[in-house]
Amino acid sequence: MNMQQTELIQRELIEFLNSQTGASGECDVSMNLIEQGVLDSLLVTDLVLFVQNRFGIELTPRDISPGNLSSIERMARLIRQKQERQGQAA
Amino acid sequence: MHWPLARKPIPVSQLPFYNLHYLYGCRSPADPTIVWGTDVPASRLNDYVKNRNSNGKTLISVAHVLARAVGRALQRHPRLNCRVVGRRIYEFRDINLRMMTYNRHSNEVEVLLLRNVDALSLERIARIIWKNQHRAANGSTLDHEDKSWLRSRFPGPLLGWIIRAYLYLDSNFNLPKVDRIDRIACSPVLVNYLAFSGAPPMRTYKPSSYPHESSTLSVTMGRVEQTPVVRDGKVEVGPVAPLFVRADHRIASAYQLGRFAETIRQFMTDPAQMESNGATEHRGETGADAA
Repeated sequence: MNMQQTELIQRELIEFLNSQTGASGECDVSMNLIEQGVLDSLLVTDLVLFVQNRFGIELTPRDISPGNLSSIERMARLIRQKQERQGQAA
Repeated sequence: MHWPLARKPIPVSQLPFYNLHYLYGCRSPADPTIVWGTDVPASRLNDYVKNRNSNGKTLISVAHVLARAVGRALQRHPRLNCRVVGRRIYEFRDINLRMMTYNRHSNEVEVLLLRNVDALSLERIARIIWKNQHRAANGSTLDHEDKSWLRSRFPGPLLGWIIRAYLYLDSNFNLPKVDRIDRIACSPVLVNYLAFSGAPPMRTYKPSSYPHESSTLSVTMGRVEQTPVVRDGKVEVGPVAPLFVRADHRIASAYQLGRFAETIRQFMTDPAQMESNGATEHRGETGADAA
């Protein structure tokens, strides 16, 4: 179940990034988006808003780190962690 | 005969706040603007950003490096850290710069003032900027709150007169600044990194002057692109970014502007230089500029 949820999150992130960058099709979830120059500052801000609204989690400026945003895989992991933490707190 | 324009103007309430500044504050055209455009070879810049991101805890972008480079360049060229007030020129006490955050959702521009930027580390600059962008996205910056407050209390025409009165006072009198109200007038330079996705390659760019006299400098950098470059007499393909620096001719000569642009270019070409270059190293150059 967790694996499926993570894959769903990854797919939604890919769709969002494709819609923002004009790219299409599948992309490697482990690809380094920073090194590839995909993420600019406006896109990071939009991404943070999208993640907060779509997945119902709170991202702080501290979360805007290379460790969390460098790939779709890592972003999905961060979202899952935040969701689990929220679930435990509820 | 026909009227090409609609009968009624667009209501002021529908215009972004920063357009109102220009609308109500611009003077008749007398343009002391000079612009220097150049290219930045970006191989080492790209490597530097990648390296910082592979080791650091804060996401570093070219915009953050640019902010730092401009701060260091102003430290080297203090004669440009000035503004016009009436017919006089005043130096700023500190090296501050302003950056803009465009909020696509509200169609507004949020201003961030970076104070004492020459003394800030790259990570610190990045954290401040991310924090501001995060707040801007959530609509909770000081700028956003101020604009909402002003719009909710003053109708369009009155707001226009308030902006006009403020710009007149700020342009003609050396008044103290109240952080909350006019913090952006605490810096002579606007730094912009216009490399958002969907932007076309930048070939030329003329940054605007702010309606009041505080924005005497502007530094704009475009996206890093693969372009033909000449190395050792051979044409190769390499990453290059465009850089445009605008200055006010009442403050800077073309010579000073060119040297300032070259300092920024050097820092951006090899950002590692900024790690080692202290203020004292460049006192001689500063003196030459001031002469």
